[in-house]
Amino acid sequence: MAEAEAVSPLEALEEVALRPERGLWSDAFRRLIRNRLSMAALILLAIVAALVVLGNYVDVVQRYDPRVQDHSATQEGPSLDHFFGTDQLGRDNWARVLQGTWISLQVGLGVQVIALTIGLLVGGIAALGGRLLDNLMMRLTDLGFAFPDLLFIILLRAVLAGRDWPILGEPVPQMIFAIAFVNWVIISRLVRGQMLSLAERDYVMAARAMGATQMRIVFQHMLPNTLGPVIVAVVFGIPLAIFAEAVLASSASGCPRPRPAWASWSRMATASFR
Amino acid sequence: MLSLFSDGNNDKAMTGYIIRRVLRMIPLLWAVATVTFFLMHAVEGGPFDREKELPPNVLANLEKKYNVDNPLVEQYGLYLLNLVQGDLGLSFETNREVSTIIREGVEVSAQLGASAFLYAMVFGMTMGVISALNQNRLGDYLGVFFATIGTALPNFIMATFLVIIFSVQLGWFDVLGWELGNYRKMVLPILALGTLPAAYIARVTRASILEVLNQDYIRTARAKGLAERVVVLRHTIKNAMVPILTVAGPIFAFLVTGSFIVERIFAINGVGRHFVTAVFQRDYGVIMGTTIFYAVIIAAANLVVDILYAVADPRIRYR
Repeated sequence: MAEAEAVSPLEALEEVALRPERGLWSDAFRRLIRNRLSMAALILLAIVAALVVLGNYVDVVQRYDPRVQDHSATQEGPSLDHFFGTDQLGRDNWARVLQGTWISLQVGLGVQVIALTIGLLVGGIAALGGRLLDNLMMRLTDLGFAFPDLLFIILLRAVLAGRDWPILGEPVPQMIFAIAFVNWVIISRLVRGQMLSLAERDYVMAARAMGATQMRIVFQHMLPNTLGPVIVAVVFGIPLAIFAEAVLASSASGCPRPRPAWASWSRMATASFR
Repeated sequence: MLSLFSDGNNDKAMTGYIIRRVLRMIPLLWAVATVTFFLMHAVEGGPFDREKELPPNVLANLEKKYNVDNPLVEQYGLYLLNLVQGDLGLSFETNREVSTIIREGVEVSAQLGASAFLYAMVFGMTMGVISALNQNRLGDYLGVFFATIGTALPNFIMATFLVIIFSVQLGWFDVLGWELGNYRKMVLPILALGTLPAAYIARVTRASILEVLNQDYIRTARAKGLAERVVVLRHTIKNAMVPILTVAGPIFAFLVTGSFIVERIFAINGVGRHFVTAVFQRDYGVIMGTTIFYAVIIAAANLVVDILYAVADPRIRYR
């Protein structure tokens, strides 16, 4: 999805020659700040994130307990008291949206953190570990690709349900684990492909010629350059992970009620549409 | 299309390649079957758990009938033996052949999946091409808008809104069901299932076409005075196909396996509906049958995509 902007080589060179020396991250940060659309998106995301975190831990923002039912005020429309109205049991929708968003965000980000870790490991080992390891890792990825994703997630979630293992005892980590388990495959393939092609690049050979250790070459030169497409895949994976959580919820294996994940909740809401 | 394969050597290499790929599917399917088998037995509870416990002798008879009284490894061996002979076993819940259950649902699921795939490809690519050819103009904004909305809406939300607006309010389409050739029963499920992939394809197409439009041979084609239509159709779109094909395979798999949500919402009797219920009922035969069935389809889709690469880019050879 990355679109190369057409810049003539000369212009590009000039730009590189004229600007002061900066590190990779500060360079990236400056370019981010310069892009107005990205900044607007970043600010919006920051507001959502702040609202969600505050809304789950600060009473002034949360306003109502999302679990408390008020039977004198069911199915109300939006008002100053209840920003988003109330549901059929009289619970405040604003508080419930914030709570549900928190779960969805945790799942979306958590899945990608795990998927990225496994993906980088498997992809990196495949690309750098020699033929035998490459074969082994790639057969593993093939297997991951062969599974029907959603079915596997539902099955894994069912396996994990009701276990009191450390960390995995709660529904949210269970869902994160189940979804991440099918999501690392794409990343590991990307990483492997990138690393294999990067290993042939001149600058890697130059680094090797100058006597850089394998570790340094991998972490200093190759890893940052593999990240571009990987970041795109990770970011696209976040909404997909949230959808997967929604599918779990809509097939009744998500968060147990009364915790409102987005999906189970929208299903309940549509029931009262008719 | 066929003329691309006229090279006799590549033809032969292609046949060998296909045979090898099909053979490689066998260990893969075995692995899928094995992992699924042991995972599903790791799910707590058994197929005959009821709110009221069954009398021990009834339970023993049931377990004997469905072969779940032997040690797990023995059951596994027996399952594989039957699987090789094409026997998927019985459903515990309905006492019917799993293969019959799948066969009954597959026609509808295949119709739904294929038409949604067709919609996603045709509509998505059209939007992508319009976007790319009008870069940073109205057409582009429309395309990008569609791509953003499409990827942000989960299909069950979209399905609900489509039903409320177009069936309940406007009465244009039916609320439930599926029937090939009856547009009232086809449009909404296809839209609900295919819009997310269509949006994704639109994005990929746009990026890929923009990339190709910057190539020297496009400038050459324009410089030698070719009609814009020829430049776009013959020189641009065909060369932009490889990335689109790359995502088409996973998208096909997504449509096939993702269809169960849409099947549930529209009460369509496809294969997908059975899986979810089967997991909850610990209906081992149906879980295995549907998983293997889907795995075969995914593997076949990936194979078709790999073969189509050669159609889009004749430089790709198979060894």
